[in-house]
Amino acid sequence: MSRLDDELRAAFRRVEPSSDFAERVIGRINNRPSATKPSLWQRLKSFLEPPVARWVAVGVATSLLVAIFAAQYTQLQEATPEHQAAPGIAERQSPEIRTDKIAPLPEKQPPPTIKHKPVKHRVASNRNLLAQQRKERRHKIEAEQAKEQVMLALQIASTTLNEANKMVRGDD
Amino acid sequence: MRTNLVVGWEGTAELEKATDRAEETLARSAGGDTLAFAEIVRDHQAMVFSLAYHFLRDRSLAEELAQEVFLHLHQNIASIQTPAHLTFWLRKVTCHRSIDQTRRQKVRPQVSLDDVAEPVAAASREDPMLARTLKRVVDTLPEKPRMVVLLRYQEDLEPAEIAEVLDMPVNTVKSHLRRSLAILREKLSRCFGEAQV
Repeated sequence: MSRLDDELRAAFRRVEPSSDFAERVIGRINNRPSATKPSLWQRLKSFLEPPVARWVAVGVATSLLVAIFAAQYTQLQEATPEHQAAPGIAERQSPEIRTDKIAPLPEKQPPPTIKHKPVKHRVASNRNLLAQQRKERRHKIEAEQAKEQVMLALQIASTTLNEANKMVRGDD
Repeated sequence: MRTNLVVGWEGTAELEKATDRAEETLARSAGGDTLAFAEIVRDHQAMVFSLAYHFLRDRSLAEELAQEVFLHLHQNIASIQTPAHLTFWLRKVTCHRSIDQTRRQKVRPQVSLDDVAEPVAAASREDPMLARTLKRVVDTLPEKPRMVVLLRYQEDLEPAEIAEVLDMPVNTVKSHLRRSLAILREKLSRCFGEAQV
């Protein structure tokens, strides 16, 4: 090893920075704004981590929602076939018509205001019309009630979700 | 590489213990422990600061750059696998940042080789005048050869290690070293006489 090597080593010996260097670095780290904002994936990941309370809340809310919607759906399904059935079939099934022993009307009913029709037919069609109107009115009332129930269920679900959300935020 | 020479089983055991401690500190730091990170900073601040200071020749600028390097390390601490990797990473980042800083701000002292002052007295071992002259002559070198000389003599790295840090072929490192030393010898022999260098 030459003298030059030794001199170079001596000239470029390590030197220490100021005594508070490490403290200043740590200070800068602590004062730095959170530049590393967690990504969507990280936030989702942190949400999926324990505590378990948030999972319980989410589970309760979900099962409640499913139960409410299932009940509403069943109710609507029960009401729909009656409402959507063909008028002829409905008439045949209706006890009022059967007691009158009137033949079922053809599928295309003439409007009730048409004149020059036999009286027997006119009375029958009027009765059918009244029955149909009654049914429609009943269905309308049922639909209104169902609508109100759905709105109520949605309100309950919304409240439950809000509570679950509060619980989750409270855990953080 | 600069290492403490330890002989025998006791020395080996101590070295292993130190390595274990460094690994543990690194793991704790990666887990978000600020105290562990401060320990890492203290362990490596001299290396990082010296590289920047000897290259930039400006104490405040070197401190600023060294702090930036450690802040960058803090952001990337999770990607550091071993203490050796940490040292390599710090050297690499410091070297590249120092070179970038010089290119950006042109802070490299534009000293001509002929402007280097002739010493008035003959040099002795550990002569501060000789050291100063050497530094000024090294300052006249272009960025890459200057960094090669710094890594060789401050960090005691082999050409292959320097090549890895600076991302350049080993032969380029060797030729930079050879040419830089030739320039230094030439200047110093003019200053101090052929026999002494």
